[in-house]
Amino acid sequence: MKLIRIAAWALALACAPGFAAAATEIVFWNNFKVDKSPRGQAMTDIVSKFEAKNPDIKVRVETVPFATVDANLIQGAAAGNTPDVIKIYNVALSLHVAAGSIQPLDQYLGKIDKTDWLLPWDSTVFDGKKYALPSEYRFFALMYRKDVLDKAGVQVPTTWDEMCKAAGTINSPQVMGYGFGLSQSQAASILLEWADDMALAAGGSWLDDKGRAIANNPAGLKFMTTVADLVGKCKASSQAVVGYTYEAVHQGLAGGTIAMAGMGTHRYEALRATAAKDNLRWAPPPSFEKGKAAPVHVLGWTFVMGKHTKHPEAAIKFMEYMTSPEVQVVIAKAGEMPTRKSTYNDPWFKTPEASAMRDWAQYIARNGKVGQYPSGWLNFGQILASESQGIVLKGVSPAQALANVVERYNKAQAEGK
Amino acid sequence: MASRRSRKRRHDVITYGLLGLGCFMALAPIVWGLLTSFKLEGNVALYPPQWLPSPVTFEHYSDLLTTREVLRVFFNSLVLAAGTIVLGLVVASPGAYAAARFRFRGKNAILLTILVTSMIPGISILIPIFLLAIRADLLNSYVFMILVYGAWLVPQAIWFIKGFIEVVPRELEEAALLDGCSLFSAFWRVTLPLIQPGLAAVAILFFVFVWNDFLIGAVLTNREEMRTVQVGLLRTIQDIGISWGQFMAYAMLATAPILVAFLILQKRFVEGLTRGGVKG
Amino acid sequence: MRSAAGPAWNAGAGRVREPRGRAASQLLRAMQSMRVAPYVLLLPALTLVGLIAFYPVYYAVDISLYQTKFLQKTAFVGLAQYARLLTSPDFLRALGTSLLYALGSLALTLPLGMAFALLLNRPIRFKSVFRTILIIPWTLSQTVAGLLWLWLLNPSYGPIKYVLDQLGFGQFLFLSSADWALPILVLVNTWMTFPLPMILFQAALQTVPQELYDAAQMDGCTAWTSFWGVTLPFIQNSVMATAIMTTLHFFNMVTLIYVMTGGGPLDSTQTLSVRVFLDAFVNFKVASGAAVGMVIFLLNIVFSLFYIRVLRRGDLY
Repeated sequence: MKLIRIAAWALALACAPGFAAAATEIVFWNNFKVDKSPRGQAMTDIVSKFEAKNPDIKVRVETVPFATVDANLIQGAAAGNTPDVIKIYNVALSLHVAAGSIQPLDQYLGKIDKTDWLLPWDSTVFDGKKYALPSEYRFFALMYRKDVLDKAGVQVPTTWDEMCKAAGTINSPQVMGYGFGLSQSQAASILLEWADDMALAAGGSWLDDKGRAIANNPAGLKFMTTVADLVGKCKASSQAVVGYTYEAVHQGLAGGTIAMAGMGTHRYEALRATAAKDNLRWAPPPSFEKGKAAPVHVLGWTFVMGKHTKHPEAAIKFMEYMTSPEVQVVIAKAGEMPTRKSTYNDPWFKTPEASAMRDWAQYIARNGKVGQYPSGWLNFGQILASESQGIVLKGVSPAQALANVVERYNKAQAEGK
Repeated sequence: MASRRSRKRRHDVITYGLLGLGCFMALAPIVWGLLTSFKLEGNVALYPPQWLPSPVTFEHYSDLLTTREVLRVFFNSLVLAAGTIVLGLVVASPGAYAAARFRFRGKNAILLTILVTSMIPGISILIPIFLLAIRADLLNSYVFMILVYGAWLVPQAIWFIKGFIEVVPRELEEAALLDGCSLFSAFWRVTLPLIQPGLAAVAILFFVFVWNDFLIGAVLTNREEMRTVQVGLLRTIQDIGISWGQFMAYAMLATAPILVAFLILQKRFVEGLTRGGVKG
Repeated sequence: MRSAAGPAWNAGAGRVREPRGRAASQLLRAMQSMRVAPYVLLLPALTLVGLIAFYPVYYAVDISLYQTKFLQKTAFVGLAQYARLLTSPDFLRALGTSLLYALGSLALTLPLGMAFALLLNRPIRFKSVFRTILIIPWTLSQTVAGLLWLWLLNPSYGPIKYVLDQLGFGQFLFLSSADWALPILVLVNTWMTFPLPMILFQAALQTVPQELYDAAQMDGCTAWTSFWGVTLPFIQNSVMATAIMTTLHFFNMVTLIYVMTGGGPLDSTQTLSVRVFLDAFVNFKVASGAAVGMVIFLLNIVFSLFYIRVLRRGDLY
């Protein structure tokens, strides 16, 4: 009975005037809820302006939890059914390229300005084909509680040696000096982001360009040693880090039980909205060399087109609109860092509320690189988490832990997915 | 006499004490969650913990109850639960009746086959079910999800209901037949009323399973408006942080219907199981 | 009190009241026949289960014989997957973890359930109040319970840490410790699950006739010995049924574990079922997931056969 009634309504709605057969509906999977928050309002606003400009296109915005969107898209693609536009995190791009769940955009793009982007055009090019239009950027910065640091009389560290001392001074059973996370949960995201940048700052990387883990990797060793030292000789962190996730560190900073931590810049506003308020500050991530800024990998959500979309032209129109400089100003005001260069010329960026975002953009313009993440990257995170936990809990030596990671990862990759 | 009474009183005190302790252990975590749901988001992660919310806020609840998607997920789960209960009882009862009252060739084989399907780990059936659904365009369908839930629960239901039926003496049904009733009539008028508490118990078990299910709901829906209650819970987990206050409020709202159902139907439930659900 | 030859309505078709309609009456008469009735009654159940359950089994067995890449088959490898699996230390450790988790939880849940059932069975007041409150943990979903306990057990600012601090204990790692994560999960699982056995046992306990207790008491049994000697044997079928149901449930659990630890730390809580989930949904190793799933399936059957053997009866069902 219910189904028949639903079907009847659907039929009635479909036949109602105004629903001309010409209206194309595209399905867009968004990564955050479209609610009354600044981001949500901005999205509602932008989408309705798009529909007003393009009366023959209707956009159905669906919120898909970021934790499941990759699996959902790949599974759907395997059965020949994908949405039209999806927001995918840039780290997952190569996974989707390999899985064949998204399609190249080149043939649809038409005349688009390839130079007016904060980062190079080919940061989202794979095998010579453009797969994604970046929507926003973020990077792994240092967040700290000014009140806690001031109380301990400690300056914000700029190198890892300084961090060792500073966090070591602050660390107590009530407050962790430097917070980080080694948990496998939540895709080990906080570990991966940190380790990713650490290798870069140490002048190397974890994986070679064939996607294999590099053995006897000095950059990797520096990272493992830092983990060992933070918990060991610096006494800057406690063993509790083994179970920390992004959430736990976020809550720690918010509640003042963590003094300093690496966090994505996208969490900045949310953290300042908690009890921490103005005590929550950001700083560039520590580097390994005094006086030299640490390079960072720039991360962010991107727009991609589903492999089996039936409306590629409508989809690309929407994607181009969403990443146009004018629209990007709107999302900037809602707290997301824009990806178009010319957006930053907008007068809003001269206001005090835009100061953090302005500084971030400058930082990544100077020190930002875009990483390439092979499809095994998430699996790498799980293995790295597992072995790093060994360093903290079992006193495994950094060199041994690194060797284990390399061996396990390469073996898993060889066995194929 | 006095010593026996005082010994009984001692036993009673111990009994009440242990039960009280049990109740405390059972309730304390949930009360904590409940209190958290009334805290301002900024006060949720304070240390030392703020035991009683101050100020008390209803914002999490009002945010949730005025959001269309949240109301929608509750509606969806309700439809799925109701549908599964109906389907499950309608399909399982005749099967249980056959299993309880008849002897026939292949009985063990058939019943064992049905039983064995409930041995398939839930997690294993998910990807093939999903691919089946997507190829047949059955995603986001109440009907398909009810079929899946039903198929999953029917084997156990047959087992339970069979037990209930076996407690009812055959003679009652035979008497009805001798009076000229058809087979169906005898079942409907004689047996059914007697196993009603048992059916109620099974219905509650179905409801709890469907309402609390996460995996099947997550896999078989990808449209927001078809999501179930547990899947909707994920909406409080955003890429900019988990809103714990809102999560607790959502969790309380999600648990409330089952609690209410239990408060009302508790007697029936236990009575149903007592009457021979899991008998010797 | 079962008639050995089946129901008495088999005989005497003429005794039946005439139903409406010729076709209906013919069908009904056919149904009256002992031969057809049970099959017809079981048909809906068989169809439903067959449609929804058999295809996945076929698919899982099929795909476990191949190598896959992103849900697509790439090469046929036969039983190589299984061979590799059964000799890999990862798999064996996951198997051990599954057994520890399931049997450990069982060892706590059943006695706890029985204890409360016995307590509730005593002549006391407020029985239904106690019982209602004790059921509450069971009404939570695994997602809710998992995240709730995750919050409670936070080693930095959770209330449990606060209480332990006040009592003078040092830093506890809870779920961050590879040694303690699994026991903690077992405890949380027990907390969530014990109400169901409690209810089932309470129901079973009420079927024990008072005369048996009286007789035992006259023979000089104490409460303890009469429990083991009288009560338990009488309800042993219920206990066994509950045990098998609960074991299967524990062995196949995914959500609670995944939500709380994701299988870590150091894979110490990665049970076989969690591994299937990770393989299929996180790492897209569908063939491996299917193979492990098949192993779980076989183990489930083994558990159940064990039960059947222990409880040998004429016809099981």
